[in-house]
Amino acid sequence: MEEPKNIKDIFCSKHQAVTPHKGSVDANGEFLFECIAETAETEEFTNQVGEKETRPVPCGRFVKFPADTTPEKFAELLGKHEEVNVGQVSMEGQEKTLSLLLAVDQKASDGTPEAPAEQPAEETPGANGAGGGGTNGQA
Amino acid sequence: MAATFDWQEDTGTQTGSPTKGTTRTTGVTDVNWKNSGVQTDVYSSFPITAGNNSYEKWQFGKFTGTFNQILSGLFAHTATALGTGLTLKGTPACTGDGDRLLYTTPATTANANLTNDMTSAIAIGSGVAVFFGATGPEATGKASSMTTNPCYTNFLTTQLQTSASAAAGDTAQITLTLQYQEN
Repeated sequence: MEEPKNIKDIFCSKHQAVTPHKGSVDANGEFLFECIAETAETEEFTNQVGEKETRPVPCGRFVKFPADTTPEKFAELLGKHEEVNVGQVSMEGQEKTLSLLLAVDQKASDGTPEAPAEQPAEETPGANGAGGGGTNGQA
Repeated sequence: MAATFDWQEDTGTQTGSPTKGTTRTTGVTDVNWKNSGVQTDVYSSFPITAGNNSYEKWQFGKFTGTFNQILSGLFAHTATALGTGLTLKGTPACTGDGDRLLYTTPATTANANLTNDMTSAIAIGSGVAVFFGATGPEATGKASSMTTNPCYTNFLTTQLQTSASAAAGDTAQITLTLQYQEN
């Protein structure tokens, strides 16, 4: 089997791990590294004999670097890329986890106690009088 | 009484020191990444061809009205996923005055200073820190809380980068959130 070319291990923000990325030079001369690791998602496709099958969806998340990137600058940017993006918790992932949590049958679990009685919510004290609450601005 | 918030955006050639845009637009209601650096250009007339990048968007928040202090700023992409072949890059966390991005004339080249990968929607609580200051988003003296009025965030710069696999047509409409506290 032929070894894949132009592969570099780079931190993937979606996987939150270092994964293989395929490097290429795009039409603008910029350096594009695309994550080729599989995700947990699957997609349906038709195989060569016309049968439907499923396969893992490749990640596809990419990182671009400017056309004038030198090896030294690349090393610096790779470090910043991981430093800035490590620890991201995607809403998509959390919503999937929530659906798993909702499906848990607590009574069926061994040795798990009943859910505790609801605790009264703590009020967040306002600081320095007026205002106090958070406000969202959206674009 | 409460603070009054306004999204604003700098465009045009960089000018001054610290640098800012030649044009400052108030009352901005969208980001609309496009193949144009003019705030009022309609995005559908300036599409980003797959494989190219948008012009950077140099937006920021301005606070006026009645408040004692603005603090605890966070910025993130908080709702709706972007499609295949799209990566949204944004300002890294501002945790010191020296972290704030300095304005450069918007361009379509990949901006290496936008190290924050904002492609995934995340909880606002894990967004990047935003600092506040007087005079403008470009000005020195940014801090995690500010009492001056008017008050500005640092530049909350973003750029939509695409690969050749990006689909034609509009992207999904996503939500970027700036969260702050006032008192």
